[in-house]
Amino acid sequence: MKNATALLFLLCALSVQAEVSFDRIVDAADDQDNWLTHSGTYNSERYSPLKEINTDNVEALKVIWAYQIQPSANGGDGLVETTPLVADGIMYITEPPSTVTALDARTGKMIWTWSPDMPKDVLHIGFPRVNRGVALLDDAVYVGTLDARLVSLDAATGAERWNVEVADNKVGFALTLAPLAIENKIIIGVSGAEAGVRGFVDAYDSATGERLWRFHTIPAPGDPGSETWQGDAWQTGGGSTWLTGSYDPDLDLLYWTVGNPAPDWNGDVRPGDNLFSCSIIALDPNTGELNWHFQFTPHDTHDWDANQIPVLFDAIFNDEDRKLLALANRNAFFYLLDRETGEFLHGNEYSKQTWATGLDEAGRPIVIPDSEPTYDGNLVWPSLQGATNWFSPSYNPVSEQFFVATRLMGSIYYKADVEYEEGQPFLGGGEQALSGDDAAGAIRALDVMTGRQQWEFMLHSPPWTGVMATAGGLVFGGSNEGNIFALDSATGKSLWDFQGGGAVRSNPMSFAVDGKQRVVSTGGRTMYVFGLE
Amino acid sequence: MKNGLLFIIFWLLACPLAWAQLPNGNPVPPNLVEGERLFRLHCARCHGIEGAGGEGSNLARPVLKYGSDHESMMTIIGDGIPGTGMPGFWTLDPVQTAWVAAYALTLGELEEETLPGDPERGAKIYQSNGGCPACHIIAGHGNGIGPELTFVGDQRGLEYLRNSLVRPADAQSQTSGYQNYLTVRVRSASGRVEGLRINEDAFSIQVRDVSGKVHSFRKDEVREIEKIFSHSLMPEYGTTIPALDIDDLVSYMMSLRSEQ
Repeated sequence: MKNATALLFLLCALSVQAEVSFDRIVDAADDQDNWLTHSGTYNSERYSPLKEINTDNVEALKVIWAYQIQPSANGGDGLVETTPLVADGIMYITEPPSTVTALDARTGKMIWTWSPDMPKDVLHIGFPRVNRGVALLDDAVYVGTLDARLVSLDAATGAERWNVEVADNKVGFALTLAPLAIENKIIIGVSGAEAGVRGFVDAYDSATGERLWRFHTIPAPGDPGSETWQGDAWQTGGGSTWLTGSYDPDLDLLYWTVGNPAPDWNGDVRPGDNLFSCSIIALDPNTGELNWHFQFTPHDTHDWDANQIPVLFDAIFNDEDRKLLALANRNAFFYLLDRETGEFLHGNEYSKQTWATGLDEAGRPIVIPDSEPTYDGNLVWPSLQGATNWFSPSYNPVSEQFFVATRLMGSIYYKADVEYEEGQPFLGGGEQALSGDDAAGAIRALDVMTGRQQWEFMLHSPPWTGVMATAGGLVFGGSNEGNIFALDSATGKSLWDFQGGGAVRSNPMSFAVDGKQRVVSTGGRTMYVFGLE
Repeated sequence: MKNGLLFIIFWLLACPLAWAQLPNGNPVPPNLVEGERLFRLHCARCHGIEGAGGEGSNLARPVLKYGSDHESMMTIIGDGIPGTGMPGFWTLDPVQTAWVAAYALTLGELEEETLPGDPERGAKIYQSNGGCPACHIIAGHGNGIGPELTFVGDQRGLEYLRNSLVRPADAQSQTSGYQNYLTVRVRSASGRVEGLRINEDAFSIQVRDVSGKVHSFRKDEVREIEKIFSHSLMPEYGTTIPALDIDDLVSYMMSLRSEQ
């Protein structure tokens, strides 16, 4: 009996360690001390309900602990773009290129670390050697690796449970995104459009690693959307899915964004709208079947991937309760969609652009003639990195404000002749960005229902990190110049800033340990955890 | 593009023996055409199609911060620069790496030019009526308000040097698109400071005045920051020094080379 009690106690103790059930992630908005999924919740609000740190006291924010990103067996380079997850006092981060590390969220001391056995010549065509974080489900941690493998690790020890190949890295597939964990499934997308891959979204059994379904973002002949392609261009059509999507457990729909068609800048070789590139797709997570789609940039020739975070929220639109989806696109337009049907409800320019006069009633851009890349170069706003990019927006559900880190930069776009060669860049041109004093950045607050700008806070250069709003009335952000800062969400006024000593590339997040709120950001290769005490 | 091709032909004619070398010492015949093709495929996305920078640094400069010679350029291409966006291109084989490195180093290369005047006389003007050491350092002598000129002949050609003397506001150098010697005027409660921007972020700006003193300002504590992009603290010598003296000064600066 005594032994049985001891065993029960042990089992209970073990089960306390990062037991992140699906139901717990569904209710993550009420679990304010933890950060259980990439964007905080399935709605992807990147909003912390914590308010110990607020507009009255943020001035006293200080570093509680810091962690130096370690050189890995897979090479010491790579930018730090991880969003840490925190569950019950343990923080899980990724370190470039594909290392997973668990830290004591109270002190920053390492619990375990795991690095994949990865070939040195791993391909990463069109992007740096980065990883943006892990997924948690039950007692496991999930990570995608640069050489396009999906791996399940024991959350308590880092021991490998399963390790499967998602796609062939030799042709250009890679994984840099944080996977999305839903009930019994791990959803993953791929990078590789700059190598001319044919993109897809996959679902894997979280227990076994068995692939359950695959949705190709570039349709084969006869499939819906194939009428927007000609000839064999679809086979190398791009449409990568390199950013974590959102999920509505009530509608049981996944929302995943799709990147540029390939080749990037020479659209002559792929006439048509090139579905489902530069789109958002709503998928049935049980079957992978397409429910609806909306294309932001038909026949894109500027590399304006739609790989931005879709934010889900409910509100009254035209006197009706609607389930909505908001997305600030790389193409410089802000979109409001009905997430049950994909219906376009509203859109407006939120950052300087010179390629469209606006959006028509269906949300299709009214393209200005001669705004495509040319052999001699054509100046267009925004630059190929877009008006925003992979880094996260934030949505405050109380004030209904949408915050977005915005890049104010133009580029001279060039077109070039191109032929597909397996495992090689498939670009068809390039750009010469107007950088430095000709560019800038801004954190912008938009009214989520109208897209109207409420305020902006100017940055010295176009940012590469996202924002997080909190119930404390704050918006946290960062800059390339190493500033980590908090703005008043009502006014945009800066209330606190810290020089982190290196470019900030990871999205901010927040958690609490011992009842004390912490805010996390990264300067260069140092991850800082801030608090009041 | 056409200029680029002409330049490559010039380079091939001018440097017929400029073979690259692999880390193991084996020579690699130059192949700038293939180097340019590989550069456009792998590098232009960040460094710009002409190499003039963007998300990556400007490579169209005679002297680079990193990779200033072929060997170090190959190392950077192969290994990347930790903590930056520059990855290691392990997928390029050593010969391809050598080609790309050689091409990248041509992007800022200066053509050989004939001196327009007398460099020795120019050196005297530099020291005397030019008053240049008041703001420039050569071989450790002078003040560092403006750019150091010790090896300016490696870095700048005739036209740029002449312009920088005659119309300095039109000859502003840049690093990653930022004007290196931008004149700023800062008004604060304690007065007005005019000088050159040393550094800047969203919250602060650092300014060096003509006496060399560094001023650090929090942006939320100043009344106004005026950036004067069309201005240079460098006097316009085109109106105060005769043209022949300008030719001699330019010749002197062109002669300031690391390898004489």
